[in-house]
Amino acid sequence: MLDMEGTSIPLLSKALDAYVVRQRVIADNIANSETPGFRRKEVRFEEELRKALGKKICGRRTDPRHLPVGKPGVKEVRPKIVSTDDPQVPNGVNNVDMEREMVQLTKNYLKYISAMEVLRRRLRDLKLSVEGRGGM
Amino acid sequence: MAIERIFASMDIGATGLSAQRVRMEVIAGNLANAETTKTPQGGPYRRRMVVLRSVPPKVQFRTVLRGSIVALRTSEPGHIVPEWEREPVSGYGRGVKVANIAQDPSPFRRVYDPSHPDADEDGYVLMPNIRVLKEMVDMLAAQRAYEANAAVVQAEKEMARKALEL
Repeated sequence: MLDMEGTSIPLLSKALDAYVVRQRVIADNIANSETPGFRRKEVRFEEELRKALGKKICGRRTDPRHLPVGKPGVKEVRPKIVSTDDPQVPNGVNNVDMEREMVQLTKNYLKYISAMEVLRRRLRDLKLSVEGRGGM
Repeated sequence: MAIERIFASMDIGATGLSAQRVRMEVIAGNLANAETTKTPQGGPYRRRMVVLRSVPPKVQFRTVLRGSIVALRTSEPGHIVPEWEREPVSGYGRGVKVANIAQDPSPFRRVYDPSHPDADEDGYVLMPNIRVLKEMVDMLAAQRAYEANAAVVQAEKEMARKALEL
């Protein structure tokens, strides 16, 4: 079987999953921009991933029943949805700042598109190495 | 990932679009009736307003179960954290809905106009509790919010298309 562990493909798909979750959370914030008492949410992922990438010792788990030892590895990093307690913005009903959410939406969209493009190229290269340059 | 979950943020955007459209219709009704002094219920037209509520995340059995498990305390960085405590407990909200179209209880305006057929013996007419300027501002806000939700749907569409290019 093809071993993908050492490649950037698992990392990319991890990131893509997180961006999809973030897109939903931002969509929910924007949909509720006029809902009284709503608290905006955000997704924490990048800093968790950075922590996991900079890890020192981590017990390898070869069985799903194993307990994780050490800091979580890249595989265990999951996007975290957190409610924020930012002060209310001048719209007076909740703490959703529409401009900020629109910027977050655009940023997250661009991150997703770029990660998807990198993944597409990796898969294309992989396909090339499996199939060869043709001519057969 | 199930196919309907791929388009979840499109659905969330759609809830926002329809909520803002309802709001727009209510504002249109208010503006059209800004001078209506008699309604089938008697009395002048009462200003309507939409009451918005967020749709909470789907409560999964897993989440409830996890909430009822006694959490182990980790007082040292070397302590092992059980996997179920690492997972996010809260899900993403599922957008917004119009809970109710409520009537504004604020008092009607009293305007002096003795020639008006609905004037009382002192010459005062009860006018709807609608301020046209406020409705216009609300209308702009609804329009802007609608556009923002449309942008969410648009972004999601592009993202799905990009995923299909793989």
